[in-house]
Amino acid sequence: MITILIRTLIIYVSLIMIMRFMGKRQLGELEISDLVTTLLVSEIASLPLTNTDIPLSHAIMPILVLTSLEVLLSGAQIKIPLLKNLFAIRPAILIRHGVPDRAVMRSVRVSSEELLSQLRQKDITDPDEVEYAILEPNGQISVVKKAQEQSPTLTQLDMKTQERGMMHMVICDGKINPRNLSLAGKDQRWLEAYLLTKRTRAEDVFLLLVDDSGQTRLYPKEGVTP
Amino acid sequence: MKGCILAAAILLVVLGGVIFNAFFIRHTTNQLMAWVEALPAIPDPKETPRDIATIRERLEKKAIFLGITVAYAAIDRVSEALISLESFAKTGDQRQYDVTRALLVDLIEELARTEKITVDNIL
Repeated sequence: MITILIRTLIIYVSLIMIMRFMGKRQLGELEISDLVTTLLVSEIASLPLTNTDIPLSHAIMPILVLTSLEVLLSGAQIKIPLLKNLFAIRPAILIRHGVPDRAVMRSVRVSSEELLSQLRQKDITDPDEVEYAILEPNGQISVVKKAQEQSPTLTQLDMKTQERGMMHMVICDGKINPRNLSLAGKDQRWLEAYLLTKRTRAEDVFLLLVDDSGQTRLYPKEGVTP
Repeated sequence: MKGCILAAAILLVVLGGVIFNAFFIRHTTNQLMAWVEALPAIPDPKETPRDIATIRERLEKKAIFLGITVAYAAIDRVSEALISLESFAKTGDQRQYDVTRALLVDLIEELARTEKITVDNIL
């Protein structure tokens, strides 16, 4: 067990360093430590499932250590910036004020084709429209358009609109969700009165959505017409 | 923050368990080694098989706890070697008795080896 513990620690740190060296493009949606933990945990967990000679503790112990380290490491990175530099990757600015930064693109090994492809996926065909394009630590490219290329907001057009907030699912498949009902600022009495006005019962409702302003959307179950 | 405290607590519990387990395995294997080494070099067909059977019974009792962290296959090999040793002690086959006793010592060392912090083990 003690050998397994030490080996787990060595493999964890080595993999993080390897992934860090490989760079952001390999990561996809995950941070380095997330990816390493996910890879290792899934692999370790499968071992005692297929080989009954391996005690279960040989899988449980490394999994507990890895997940604890993952939580501790992500917590420590917030408190200690040095750890952030050591284990995580910093965002890299690929385009600044419409000009692609060749040196940065080289250092993070992002080709021009890849960059333009990523921009096209965000409906941008000309890098000059971009104020900043940033390669994030999770491997995604975020794009901030130049001010003149952005769609005008209602504030910029000096137009006012009512906040509708979020739709809360109060009834789902005939079942009332009391938590969502209270989040929507309503109570049981309101719901009963509402269902009465719609001449239906909760059991006959497929979906009832209520937003913060009190607006409702009612979808009856198939075949039931309130 | 709660998550970090919980993670640190889990890590400490795991570390404690691993250290306790290392001591337990070392203690058990030392005991087994002492019992095996106490067996006579020339077996007595009446006394020695009984002593070996006692060692095997003691091992079987400890096997439940050993099996939590040590593969059952490794414990079974020790148990099988004890059964062979017992039969050779009964028949008085000195050569087979010596060979099996040496093998038994190796198997017990193998049990202890996994809990030793050595470069060989780690690599």
